[in-house]
Amino acid sequence: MHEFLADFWFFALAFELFMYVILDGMDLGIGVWTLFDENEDHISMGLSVIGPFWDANETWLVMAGGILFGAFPAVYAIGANALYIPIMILIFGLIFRAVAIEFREHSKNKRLWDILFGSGSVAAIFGQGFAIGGLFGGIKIGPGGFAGSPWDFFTPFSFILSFGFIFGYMMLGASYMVAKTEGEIQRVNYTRVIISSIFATLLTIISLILLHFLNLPEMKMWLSSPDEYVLTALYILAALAILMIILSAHAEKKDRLPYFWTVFLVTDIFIAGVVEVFPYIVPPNIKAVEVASPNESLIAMMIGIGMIVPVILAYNLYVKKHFAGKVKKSGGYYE
Amino acid sequence: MNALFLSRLQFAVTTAFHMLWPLLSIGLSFMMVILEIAWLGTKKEVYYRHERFWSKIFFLTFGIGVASGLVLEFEFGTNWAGFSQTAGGFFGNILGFEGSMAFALESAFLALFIFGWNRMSKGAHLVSTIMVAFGASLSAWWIMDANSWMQTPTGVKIVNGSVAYINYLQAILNPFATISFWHMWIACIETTIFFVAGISAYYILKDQNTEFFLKIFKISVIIAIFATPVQVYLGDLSGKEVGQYQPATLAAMESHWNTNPSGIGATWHLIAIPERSAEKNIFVINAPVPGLMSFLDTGSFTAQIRGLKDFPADDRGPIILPFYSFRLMVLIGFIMVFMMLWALWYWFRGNLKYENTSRHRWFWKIWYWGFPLGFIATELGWITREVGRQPWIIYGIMRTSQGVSNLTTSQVLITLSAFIATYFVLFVLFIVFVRRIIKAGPDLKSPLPEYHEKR
Repeated sequence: MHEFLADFWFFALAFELFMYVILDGMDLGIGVWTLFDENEDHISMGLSVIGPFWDANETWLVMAGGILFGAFPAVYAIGANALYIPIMILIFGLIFRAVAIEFREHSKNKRLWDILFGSGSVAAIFGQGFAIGGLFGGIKIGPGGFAGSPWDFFTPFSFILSFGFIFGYMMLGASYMVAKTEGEIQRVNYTRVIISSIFATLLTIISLILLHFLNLPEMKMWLSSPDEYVLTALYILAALAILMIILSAHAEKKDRLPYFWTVFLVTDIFIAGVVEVFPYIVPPNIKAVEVASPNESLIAMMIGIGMIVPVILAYNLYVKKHFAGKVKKSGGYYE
Repeated sequence: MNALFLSRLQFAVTTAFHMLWPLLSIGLSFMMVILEIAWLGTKKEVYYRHERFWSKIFFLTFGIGVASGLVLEFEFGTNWAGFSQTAGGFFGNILGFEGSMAFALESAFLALFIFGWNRMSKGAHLVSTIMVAFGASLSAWWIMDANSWMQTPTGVKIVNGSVAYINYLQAILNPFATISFWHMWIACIETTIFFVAGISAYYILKDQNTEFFLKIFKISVIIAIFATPVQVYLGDLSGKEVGQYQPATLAAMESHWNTNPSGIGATWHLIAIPERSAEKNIFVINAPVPGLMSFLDTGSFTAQIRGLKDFPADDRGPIILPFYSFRLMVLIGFIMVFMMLWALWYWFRGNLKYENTSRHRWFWKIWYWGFPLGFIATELGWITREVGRQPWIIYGIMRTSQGVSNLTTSQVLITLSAFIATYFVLFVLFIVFVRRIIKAGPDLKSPLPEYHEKR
């Protein structure tokens, strides 16, 4: 029973994080592109696309945090303690992103807020990349909790991984923009999809190689895991998805295809990551079941969170339905 | 200065800053519901215009609230790993409930509330507005519940540094939970109506859209008739609960050193300068009513109130901060009641009529300067509550010093400075942009919403 509940919450946590990556990853990606864009209308358009949704998208991170805190308190505590610096970078990034969106509306000097919006997004993504990279790079745990040093997270692997995150999110953002816009801005974003997907692929490959070279303990574990066939299949699918992203963006015919394949790719990679890690929650030594909260708590979360998530998905779809179709002009959602 | 002290300061700064925004967004969302119902019910345009005008400020507030609230959720882990690991099995659940039941609801429907006017039917839009307000208030319930559990931790058994067993009902309905929530919820309403009334008074003083803003001023006064006295009553109840469940906190809040002998009530200090090493007050100004402290804290003029000396020196928290912030909060609470009564009296005398507004400038000036009262009172109340709980992070179970993460001083010093700098700039910018919204005034010309009834 306990093992089932612990595993259930492991996958629920993965699901919440996945939703966050897909949804807010897209918002953050659009934010990063702002830094490479001089055209105020294009930037306004990007903001109109994410305007109604970015805070709802951020709730998935809050929920994931709540699940980690409630179901695996030791991981939440030791992890956040060890990853103090990346988490603070993430937090400040999200603060700047949020206020830039809010204040830009009321401001005359838009450029200043564009830069803050872009750099806030970059910081938020770096925070996430370094946090995940730091977690996989191993955390030193002593009898009193975290026993390492504040900069342990900073490794070549986490560095490269963070750049992988940046381009991955940029790819999500650009392909979503293709789906939601038309005309010149759409053409620009077709090109962006191709550029970011190539970089994202390169960086993913480099970080996988680094993982081998650094010879982290996880790697041995992963290489000997019986999931190897599943992983191989997933990586082949990933290669296919990348090809399809580039081809569909190059063809510029069906404007929803690049987004479809990008989501497919991110999903695929995410599943691969989960398969690699499970049943460990902090690889290579802590299993989810070993650090899960007692059953009463996991069951209560089933009622208070587990049963609510389908409802959340339902009303988010209901809300999205009202904003279907292309965003016609910048400020289009703002009536 | 060490990582413990700095972490406490950082949590205090980030919480105090965060609190400002939900105070306003919970209250404003509640006001939006009232305005939208009034608009749909009476078909009077003024309600719709008001809803749109205040929703601009609401939207601005909401964004900062989201960003600054996220900070707190992660700070439990980054700075209070010991606490998080110990209490997470219950405390973390509650934060998870807040995220999934309340925050997700509020932010999803926000899209329709703000951008949905021309996209849906009347009923569907009203439902969205209600969902935003309901989500916002439910959020406050879970957060206050989690905090109340830190104050009165019932129903959870902690073994070997983590949660071993939970009686959920007892833990969620811990002694402080219900009253604390209502005290905070009314604080949101009260803060908002004084903010709204203050801005209205500004327009009335300038004679800009006076009639329009008299409307919302009167609505605020009507809400204040209920909110201000109820808040005093809830505050009184909260104080009595503190005496019952945290006697050492009450003694610190009252700077009360010696337990009064039975049969003779304790005297209430209006002002006190406590001297910790001498275990007494070196200076006091007392209220001239004998036994007033006993009466205020228990309801009986002769009841015994345990003094600080009854508790081991290690278990005594700070005194000056809770003592004065508590008194100031109470003072502001009463000022708000009197302002409500003053407005009511003026209303009956016809002074709130459009043609008379230019005559009572002092009245409007005082209401104008009353706009931050609720924020200040709530912050003071929170200081009383949190500083009063010290030296405990989970009252009676875990000390604050045991809850802190393993961090270096410079780590926390850097983030603390960054928070102070960022929040200061955000605060100033918020004021700048709200002033801009206020200067621009309400939009009274744009077309009314085109509802899509058949969707």
